[in-house]
Amino acid sequence: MGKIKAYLLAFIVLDMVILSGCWDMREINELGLVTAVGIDKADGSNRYAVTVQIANPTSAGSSENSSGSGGASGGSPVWIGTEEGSTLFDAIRKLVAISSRRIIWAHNNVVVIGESLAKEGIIPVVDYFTHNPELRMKTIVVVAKGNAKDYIPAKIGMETPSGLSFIMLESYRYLTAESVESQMLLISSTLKNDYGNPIISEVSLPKRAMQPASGKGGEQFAQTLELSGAAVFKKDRMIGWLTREECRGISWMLNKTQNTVVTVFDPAHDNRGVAVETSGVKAKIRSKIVDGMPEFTISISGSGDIAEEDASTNSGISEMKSDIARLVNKKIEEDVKNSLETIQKKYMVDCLGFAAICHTQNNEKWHEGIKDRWQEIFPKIPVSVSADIKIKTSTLNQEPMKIR
Amino acid sequence: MANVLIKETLSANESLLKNEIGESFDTIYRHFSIPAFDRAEAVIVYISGMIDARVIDETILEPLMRLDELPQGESHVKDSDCIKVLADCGVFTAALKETRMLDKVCSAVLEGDTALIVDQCSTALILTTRKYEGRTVSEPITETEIKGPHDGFIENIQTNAALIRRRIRDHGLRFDSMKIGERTKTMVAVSYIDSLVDESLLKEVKTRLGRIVTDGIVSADYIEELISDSPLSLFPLVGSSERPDRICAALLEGRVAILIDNAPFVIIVPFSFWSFLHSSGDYYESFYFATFIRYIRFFAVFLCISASSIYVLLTSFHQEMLPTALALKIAAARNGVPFPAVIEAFVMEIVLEIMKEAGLRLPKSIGQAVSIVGTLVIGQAAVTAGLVSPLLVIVIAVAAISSFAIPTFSLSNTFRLIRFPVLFSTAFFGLLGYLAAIAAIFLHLMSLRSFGAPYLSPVIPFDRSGNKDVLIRVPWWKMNRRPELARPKDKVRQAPKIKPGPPSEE
Repeated sequence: MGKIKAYLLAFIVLDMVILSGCWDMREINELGLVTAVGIDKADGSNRYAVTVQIANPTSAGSSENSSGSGGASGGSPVWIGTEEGSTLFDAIRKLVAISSRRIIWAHNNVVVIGESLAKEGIIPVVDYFTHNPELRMKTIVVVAKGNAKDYIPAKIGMETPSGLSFIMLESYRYLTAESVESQMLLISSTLKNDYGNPIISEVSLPKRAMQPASGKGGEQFAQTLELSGAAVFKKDRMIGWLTREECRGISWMLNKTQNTVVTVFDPAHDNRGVAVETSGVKAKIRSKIVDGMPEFTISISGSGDIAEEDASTNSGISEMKSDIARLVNKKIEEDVKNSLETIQKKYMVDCLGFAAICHTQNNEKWHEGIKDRWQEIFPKIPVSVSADIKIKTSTLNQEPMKIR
Repeated sequence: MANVLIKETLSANESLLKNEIGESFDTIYRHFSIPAFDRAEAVIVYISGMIDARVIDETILEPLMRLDELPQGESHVKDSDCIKVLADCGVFTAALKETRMLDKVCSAVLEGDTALIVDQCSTALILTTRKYEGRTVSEPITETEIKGPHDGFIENIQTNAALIRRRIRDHGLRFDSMKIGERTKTMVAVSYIDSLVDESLLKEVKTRLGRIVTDGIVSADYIEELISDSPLSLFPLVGSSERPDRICAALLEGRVAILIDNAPFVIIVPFSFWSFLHSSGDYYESFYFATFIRYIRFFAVFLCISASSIYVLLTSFHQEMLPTALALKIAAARNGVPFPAVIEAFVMEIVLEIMKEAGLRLPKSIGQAVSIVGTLVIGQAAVTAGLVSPLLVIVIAVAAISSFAIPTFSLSNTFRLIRFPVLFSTAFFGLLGYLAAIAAIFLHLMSLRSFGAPYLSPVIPFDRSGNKDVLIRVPWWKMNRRPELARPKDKVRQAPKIKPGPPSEE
């Protein structure tokens, strides 16, 4: 009897172990891996439209090259579906009705927000995607010119499925510095901040990619997604766009660029073009409060190499280097000032985190009146900008290629 | 039988012997007479396959049959010292002993000695004439090394002892022998270096060996199982080696070796988990390379246990842990596979184990057929048919190859077994199950002891000096102290500053 009881007990314990296992098991080939998602909300409507790009592993995993031009045909590397709902979660759950696979967000790289939704407020998007434990906080968030829906099937870079290209676009952003850093983590923390106004990169669809084959002479280039420019937000509502040059200015200020090309024209030598590749650029923002008014000083330092010269000069090495350095510095200062001008005067929104800098550097005075008046002070704050880029190269400087 | 004495008359003795050891075709009773003893009747008894016939001819028969004159005129057979006389000046054999016990005579004959019994004499003479047919010393099969000595132990315990003696000339090298097995009477020798070995360890070894009361010892593994600290553990707790150099290194660390007749493996105690992952080749290569190889082996252990579990864990539970590109590759590879990853992995593991087992015992000519069938059926057809994913085949193959990279066969077998519980635990609970299984293995390892020494020492418990030869191998000139594992009496191995270098300037 005792033996039977022991066996029974062992059986029950083993059952507890086995029966409670496996509940969250799901095979990888039965999942829909989302690689990009676009979210729209038409003006005045209260329904969200969610468009997802789901990798179709059969062709995505195989080595055969595919164009990634979209569509839901069998051989395509991606499956694209769209669904509407009164909340985001509602719309996303409804996707199951057409997708045949359960959607997981763990591999999503990009959230594209439609322009009209951005203008109405991005809180629902940020909230849903930070609530969801599957989604990575490194996901890139961008604002689309127009409807986000059009961007999901578009050609994006060279990766397959095309959503993966976003990681690459984002990782090479520092080379041009014509957009801004806009990861989900950064945006959600900025929104939770007392004086945070996010800037989010912009995507557009210029016709720059060669058509696969079917170009009939006329339309040679197809639409491809481009990451450049940015959208300025006042709290969660978009209020306007920044151009790529203005983004560049912001990148200089906020230390977000390294190997950028600065092109300057040398008035002393027939406006010849000189391209300088910068490196080791560091920006320091200092603030002090004089008579109840904050003042900012931005100093940018670093070095650069001459990468290209359009015409030869007969000036000496050191002379020419200092000439070009002066021009580069001037150009950078201009860039920074232009973007400050737009942000301070046109949008009147502190999206650069100046408030935080002012607060940390002048804690006592910040609470003595500045904090409450920040909104009205900000457009009037004087900012002085100085750049000090040193030219390192001594090669290529005197006798570039000439036609004899 | 135990206390029967030898009788006076030859015929009585002979019938007693025939009664005891029988009259098999190879049991030879050779009658002759000794001229010097008034042509006294005598008989030599031996087993024909276990003696050297020339030795018997030249050192026993010839001198005795030609012996017609005794020294000092001693002449009478009835003289009770006649055997002593024979021993002194009759036979030419190097080793002999006298006995009055019939039991001893029988045992000696069965061991290959020759018994000489003379009529009217109640003492028998046992003459050593052993010569067995056996292998010659050759390359060890299970522990081949590129550098280092190429001789290995054989089935003959005498030769094995000689192989050790030729390497260690220390006066303190001992071989304490005993017989184990009621019927096999296998000779077992406990070997150690007197001035190094810990007395209590030696006593424990002898106690455990003495406790074995069994019918027979046929191979070294019998002894291994019978002296283990935790006999139910999956892990081997007693080391064994075919290489004399390895045994000598162990003896020099104060450990105890157990030699067993008819077994080409010599047992080493105590033995730590880490030693199973070391090979004697580690000491014959540069210490940089040896250290590198050790890490390769540790990694192989990890892969052997975990490869299939991690595959299941990543594909069935934690897809977010994969890089996107890899996730897509796996998803594409698994597309259309009708089984869950666990079933897939388990079936493939089992098939592979069957293949290994089949290949192990087949004659070489058929073995090739097995590998062709195996490669085609498993590697090609199963994947082409879409029953398993090609990625899983890679994973299983990696695990199998990793199991071959573990230098000790017994430990490799342990890991081959242990990966199944790990696989199932993972299949039920994902990452948590996997970690729980690994933690359980570690806890078990920590609870084990080998002849009193903690199995994971010197890592757990930590001993700095001992760690010079565990995860890394430091150069010889740094290993100044013997490992603490066997608690050697003399802890210092070498002079402190023997690091070589160019001659100094002065």
